[in-house]
Amino acid sequence: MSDCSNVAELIEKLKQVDLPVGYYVVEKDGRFLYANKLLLDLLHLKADNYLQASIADKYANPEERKTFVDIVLGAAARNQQPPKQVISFTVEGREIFVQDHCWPIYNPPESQKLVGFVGSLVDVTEEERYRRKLPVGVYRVNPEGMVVYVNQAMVKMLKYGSPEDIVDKKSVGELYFNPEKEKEFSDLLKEKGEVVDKKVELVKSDGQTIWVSASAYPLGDPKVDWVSREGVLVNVTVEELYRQIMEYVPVGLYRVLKKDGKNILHDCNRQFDEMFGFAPGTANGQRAEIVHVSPEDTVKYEKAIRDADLLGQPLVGYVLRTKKQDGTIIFIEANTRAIHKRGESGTEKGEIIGRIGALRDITNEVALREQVKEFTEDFGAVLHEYSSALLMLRESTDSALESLGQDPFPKVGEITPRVADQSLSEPVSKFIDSLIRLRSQMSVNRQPANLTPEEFEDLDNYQVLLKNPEKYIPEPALRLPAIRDAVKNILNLLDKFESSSQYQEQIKDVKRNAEEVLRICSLIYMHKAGNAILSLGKQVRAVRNFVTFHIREDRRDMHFVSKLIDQAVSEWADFAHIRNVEIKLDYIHPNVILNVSKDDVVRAMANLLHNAIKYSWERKQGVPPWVDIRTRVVQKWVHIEFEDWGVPIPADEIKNDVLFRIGVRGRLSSDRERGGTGVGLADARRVAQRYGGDVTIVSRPADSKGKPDNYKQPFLTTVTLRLPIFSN
Amino acid sequence: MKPKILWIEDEATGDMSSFAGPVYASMKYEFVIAGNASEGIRRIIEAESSPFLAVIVDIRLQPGDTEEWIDYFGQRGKDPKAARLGRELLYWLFKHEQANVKLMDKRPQWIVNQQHRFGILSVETKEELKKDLDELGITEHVTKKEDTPHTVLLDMIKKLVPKISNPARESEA
Repeated sequence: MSDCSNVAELIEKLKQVDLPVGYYVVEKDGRFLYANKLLLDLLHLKADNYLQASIADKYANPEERKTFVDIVLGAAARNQQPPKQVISFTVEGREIFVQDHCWPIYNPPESQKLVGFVGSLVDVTEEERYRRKLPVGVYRVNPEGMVVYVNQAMVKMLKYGSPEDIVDKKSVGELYFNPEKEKEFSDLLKEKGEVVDKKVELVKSDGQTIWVSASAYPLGDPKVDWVSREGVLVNVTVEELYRQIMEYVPVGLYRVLKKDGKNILHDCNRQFDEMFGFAPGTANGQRAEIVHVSPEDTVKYEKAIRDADLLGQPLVGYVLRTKKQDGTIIFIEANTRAIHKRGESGTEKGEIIGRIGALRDITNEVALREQVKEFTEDFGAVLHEYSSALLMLRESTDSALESLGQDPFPKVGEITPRVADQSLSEPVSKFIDSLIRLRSQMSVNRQPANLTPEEFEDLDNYQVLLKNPEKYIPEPALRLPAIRDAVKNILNLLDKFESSSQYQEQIKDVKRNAEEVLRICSLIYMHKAGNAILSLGKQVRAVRNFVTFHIREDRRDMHFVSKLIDQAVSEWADFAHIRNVEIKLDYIHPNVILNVSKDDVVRAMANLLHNAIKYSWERKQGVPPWVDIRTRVVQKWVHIEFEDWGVPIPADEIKNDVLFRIGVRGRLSSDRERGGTGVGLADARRVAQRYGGDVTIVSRPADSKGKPDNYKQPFLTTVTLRLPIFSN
Repeated sequence: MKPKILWIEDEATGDMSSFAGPVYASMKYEFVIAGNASEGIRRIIEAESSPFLAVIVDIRLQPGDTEEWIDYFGQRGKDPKAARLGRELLYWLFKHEQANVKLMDKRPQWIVNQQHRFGILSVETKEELKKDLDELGITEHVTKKEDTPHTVLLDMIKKLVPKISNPARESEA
């Protein structure tokens, strides 16, 4: 408020001082009573006629004059210094910005009789233009709630054409998506005196909404029931959308910051609150340990975060035992990253001051995992029992073989139908000869044999069959059971012969010969059983290893790839011998070292070798089939190739990756002569993938001119196990 | 001429070979083995002029070389357990409209109302197959188990042709 009650006296005083700013005295309607030269120059007024002009005429928006005056008078009424206000003037068609700091003049001074205003104007055009070009929305609202100023950024933000589309046309409430929220904002401003970074949803001219971070300060006294305000808006729509999504993703998000040595929760989302049983928004500000079950858990968890941080990594998949507010224990999977203070040099990381993380409730999964683990252990134990039982069976078959007397067959090796035929040929001939002798004697002497006509016919039939089994049983594999049955049936019929028969010696001879045939049959069956047990034992072990893969410790160490291959070869050496398949080690890199679990990789190699042996055919008459194993080094990888010549793998099975599905066997390989569980390839791939490698298959006609879809011809199949080289 | 018997079984010359022994040893039958669904159907179709007296079918079969069987087998994940081609084969023969595998429309005449000549020898139990057995009108079924006697196939054949005391002579007659 001016000290001068008399306007003329005030003007005289002003004329006597030479202030470096423009100043003025105006009547209460704004008409000039005095202006110094700086002000006249600023507003391009002429000394000889400016007294006829009004300061209100210079306002770019004359409506703003009223707001300005109200603010000044409001402050004066409260005995406060009126605020400096930036006003947009139009001077010679050009917009300038001035900062007007103005007091009312009352006459007499203590009265409420307003006679004019005295004020100073400072040209702030440059600063204001900068402010208006800020990439944030700037606005001003009058006490009636009408928008009286917006900058270009805000016009653009709200998708209007120009400031004129908003100024004096829109109330600030109209810009809110929910006008009630504008009242909340205004009340908050009155209460707090300022509002900083409050998220507000506005509506654009096209009806779409936009989220802004709004800050504002009051123009005038917020304690009165009206407030005009000025503020800035920052577009945070994307951040807000993400925040809203984060509220509903089924993951608890949080931040922990150290304050006074305590870990305090911040920014916990809705899911975090729900996960731990907090009322919405109440987890924030709590100590982080409130969700931990014990101090030991906290220490262990924080150590894990630090350990991961030392490696420059977040802590991923950490299973943490926590508790809800009602004390219920829950297991969560924590994915957490340490938050650092800035280092002293400004570049390196400083001390850890907190953490940020995402949590997933895995209580049910943990329970399920425990069940699976228990089941896996039980199943592993059962399979172990099977292995033991098979070992015992194998011993039994060996023992039985020994008790069957002289064994013409090799201890290991497959007895093919051809070999079986050859072995049985002589004993069967002897048996038939003795039977014919017996029957011819009986026939000559007309000795009754106590057989029915049907039994005689059966006897004839068996005899005919045994004389020439190849004629009646074209499939070699089926001759052995037929011969055995025919001989056994004949023995049964012989028992019906007269016991007091004079042909006892001949009958004994027939029986002796029959027993030799049956002994050879038994030997063949026992060898087959022994081989099947050997193969089954390996399969059971493969299944056991596969099933218990995840509960076994991953023990990695350095191993020469050549040694691992040697061990895999030794695993199946017997089987290869049985199958009469030779294993050729073509070229194996001697110095390639892998950092792997020996057991797992040897098993993976053994699986692939087993397949190669199983599916090998004889390449040339009289030359045993063989399997090639070789290594290739490709950059940082070693490719271990197992190649066989034999059973084709159809292209569609390779293309569709079906062979890697657990329990699936190739359609051309699924006969029981080639025993298998369908886990070998899946297991090998799983092992390879544990180290970032893989298993791949290529199968093509062995004859390069062969049609690729003719699966009756032999195929060359290469299965490659790719593993990372540790050193070479 | 001996009576003809068909056994459709993909393990006939493998694990199930001992079942064939007694049949061969008896020398009473013309014993034909089909190792997959395609061959099984082919044998049945070719038997129009000389029908089989008994047909024993396994449920889990390989498809063989016929496109329709291969396609269906592929649709079922190439899993014999899931594809149950033996079941499909019987449906095509006796309940054509319900068959999942659509072969040619014309089926052999000799099988019409001859379900009593057909039996199933499979690892599936009777309970598992009850619905299908009822639907197909097949009564003879034996489950393959570890204690199944090796004469099972011959026993089934004898059951399926019970009225023929001497099949060879009957057939010749």
